[in-house]
Amino acid sequence: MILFAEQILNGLQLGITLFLMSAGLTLVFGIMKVINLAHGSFYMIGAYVGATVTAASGSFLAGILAALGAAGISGMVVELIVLRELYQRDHLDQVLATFGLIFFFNELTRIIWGKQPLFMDVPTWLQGNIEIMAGLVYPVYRLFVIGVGCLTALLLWFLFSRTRLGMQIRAGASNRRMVSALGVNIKLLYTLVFGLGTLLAGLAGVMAGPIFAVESGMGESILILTFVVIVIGGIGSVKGAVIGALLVGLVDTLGRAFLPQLFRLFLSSSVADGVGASLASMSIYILMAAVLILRPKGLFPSHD
Amino acid sequence: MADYILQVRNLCKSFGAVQASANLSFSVERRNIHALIGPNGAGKTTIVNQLSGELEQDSGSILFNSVDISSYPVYRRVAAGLGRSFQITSVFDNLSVAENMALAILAGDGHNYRFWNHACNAASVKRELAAALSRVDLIDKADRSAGALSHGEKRQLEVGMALVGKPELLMLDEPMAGLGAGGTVELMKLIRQLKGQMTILLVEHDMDVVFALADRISVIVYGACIASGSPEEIRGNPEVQQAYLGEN
Amino acid sequence: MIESPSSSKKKLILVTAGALFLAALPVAATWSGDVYLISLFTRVIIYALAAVSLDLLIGYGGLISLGHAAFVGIGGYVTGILYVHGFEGEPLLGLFGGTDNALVVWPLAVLVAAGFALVIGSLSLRTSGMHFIMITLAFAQMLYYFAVGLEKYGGDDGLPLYSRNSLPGLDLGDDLQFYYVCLFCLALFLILTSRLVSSRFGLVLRGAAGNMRRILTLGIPGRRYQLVCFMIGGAGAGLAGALLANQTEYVSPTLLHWTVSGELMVMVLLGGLGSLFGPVLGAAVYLLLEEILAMYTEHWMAYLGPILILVVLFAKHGLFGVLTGRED
Repeated sequence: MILFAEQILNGLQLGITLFLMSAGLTLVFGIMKVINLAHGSFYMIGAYVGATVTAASGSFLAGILAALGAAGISGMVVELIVLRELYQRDHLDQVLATFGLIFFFNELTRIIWGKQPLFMDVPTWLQGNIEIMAGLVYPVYRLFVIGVGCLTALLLWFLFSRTRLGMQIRAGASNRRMVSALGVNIKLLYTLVFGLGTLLAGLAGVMAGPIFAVESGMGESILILTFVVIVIGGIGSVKGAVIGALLVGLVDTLGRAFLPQLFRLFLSSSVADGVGASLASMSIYILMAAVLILRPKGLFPSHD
Repeated sequence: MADYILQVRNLCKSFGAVQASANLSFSVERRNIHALIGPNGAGKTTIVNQLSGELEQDSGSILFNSVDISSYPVYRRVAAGLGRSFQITSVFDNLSVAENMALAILAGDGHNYRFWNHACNAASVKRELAAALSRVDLIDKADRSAGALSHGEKRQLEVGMALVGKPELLMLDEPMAGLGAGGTVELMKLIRQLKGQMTILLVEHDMDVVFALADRISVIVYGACIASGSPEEIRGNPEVQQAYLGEN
Repeated sequence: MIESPSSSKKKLILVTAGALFLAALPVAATWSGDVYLISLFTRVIIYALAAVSLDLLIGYGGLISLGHAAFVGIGGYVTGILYVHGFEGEPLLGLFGGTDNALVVWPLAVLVAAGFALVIGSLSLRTSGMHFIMITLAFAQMLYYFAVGLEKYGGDDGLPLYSRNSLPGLDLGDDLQFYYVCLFCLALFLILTSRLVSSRFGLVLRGAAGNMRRILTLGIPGRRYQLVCFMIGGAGAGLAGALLANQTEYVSPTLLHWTVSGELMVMVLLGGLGSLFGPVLGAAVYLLLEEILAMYTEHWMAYLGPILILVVLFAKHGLFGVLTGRED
């Protein structure tokens, strides 16, 4: 039971990270109709800049702010230089150009920071464990990540449902023509949305820094999980991103933790570990296939 | 009893609060030109899309040659003899005019899982292509990319492709839209020639065209059929004048 | 895809020149002593085969698959697994013995890849557009993780083969003979696919790529044709995978990694989308560029990335299009 609760928390934490990644990307897909493979690069930029600034200044908060700035600004620069040219192109061109961006950013980080991964320490004020309930001891930092994620989700909710900019963005995700008909400055809106998306990716990156190694190419594995989230949730839907991210986070984490044990009930332990581990790493894709069979446009398809 | 090729019974379709067809019923007699008219937003194109199978109705049935086809997917309805043209012209812009027409010919000629011989060497294409292109005056432009045709020519190509399938019922969705006076005259001539060979369901805005061509007219208002009859009957129907012609 | 007479003449010249070049290359390389060129170009030919099969999907079927490496990997793993079982004499699933006979292994690699393409394709083709891209990518990654989890066949570390497959009458271990076998496979696949794209099937396929709605209203179930196309593409990639496993005598999960799918896509676009022969050129240029840039700098990817973006933005029909003067 304790183990189960712990794994639920782990799943939540992965889900939160995925939500930060997918909330921005699903809007970029939904509003600009651009498929952006380079979204993971901003996660990586966030992690690298955050780790460097934290190490230099000794302040984790400074690191977070620097990561947000770096990811957001580099995102807007990329939007202005490359992405803007791609809006009218077909998806194939978008895939290839953003694939080129990945090459460029991965190599750039290797040039600046070298081949060795950076390791980021958990800041002292977030070190240690806390007993949440009897017997369940959980790292404070991971709880912090969950908290920051929830706070961000609340802020986004406020932005989308209570502010004018948010309404324009939501309208853009469901009906692009409508927004331009309303006289909104589309170019500016696009740049802002893209910047917001990469800023969130940067936040996800810097938060993941103390948990994973910060290394070149770290953005790609999370990118593909993000795609799975978006496909499950429905392109362009922030609500879908929330539900999809939590589903994927929980299924992946619980699968890895419990599938091998489950198989041990009726297979020899070495075979069970192998089969269980394989199946666990495939579980979210199986989930995705199941969603597709039932609802080809995802759980919360946005109307077009 | 009249020989009906198409019977629409109590068709309903709504998008949220908007009723696109509201308990719609009408029947089309074989070898007639039957026009659907109605004010803008009356739901005419939605009806055509329901008949062609691109939209699923919420309830009601569509009988084609007395067979209920309302659950058939698009391609089965085509195979049953239901052809259509589109309000916004829809041809294969990435293919040549001849290839467009060849595709239409091959669609009615067995399966296409043939991987080796050139498509244009198929017996049916060799036999019919030239005639099919001549019928719509496009034989000189056979090698042109369809995307490079003028609007009127695309429309001709589209009607030509619909004819190739020898449909029993041809639905023309606003065929005159966007055509100049010359194009309209040409297309009216073509539609008159087709009369007697097949049934035509004509959705059209231009009242002169409708009254010049149609044998029967059904008037659609808010997704329901408020009157059906000969052009004279429709012209004299006070309800229709009130709802529709009265505006003019 | 309408070609002017002058551009189709240029195309004929270019293809002939390319064929002569590839046929004569080993002779010239042996004569001048640059033997490494033979294995470099064997790699080019195998990647070209995979890229041509992807061009069939993207350029003709309108199916932007970002998971094509999965089928390359499946072809490779079929070869590797059969080899290991043949080598160790342990029957596969307790049923069949393994083998290293190319006449058995390669067709099997093709069939298994096509079978996987049938399953993945029928699920993925329920969607289109952006969804299709992401879903093919996700399925390929799923198979990648599956391969990583295959502890019995090396898991993460991959599976070494101790020799190439055997082909009666030939010695595939000899680089020269292996080169010509690969070239033969590529030529065969190119002939088959160029017939295919202008056949009835190909016409339907191109129509479906341009305007699916219209294909359906013609009474043709277009998605099924796309599925068959997806299988043929998968089969071609499966053969490429079997050849690649033979060339390197090694199979590993990296064969299925999504960056390989991306690279194949780059080759297709670089060479010229929807031209079949273009991707051969694309594969050659990409692999040679990689080789050359790597000679000057270890950070060659930092240069390749921007080059790619420039190609996408400014060279619509790829190198093949530039060389044959193709226009819309």
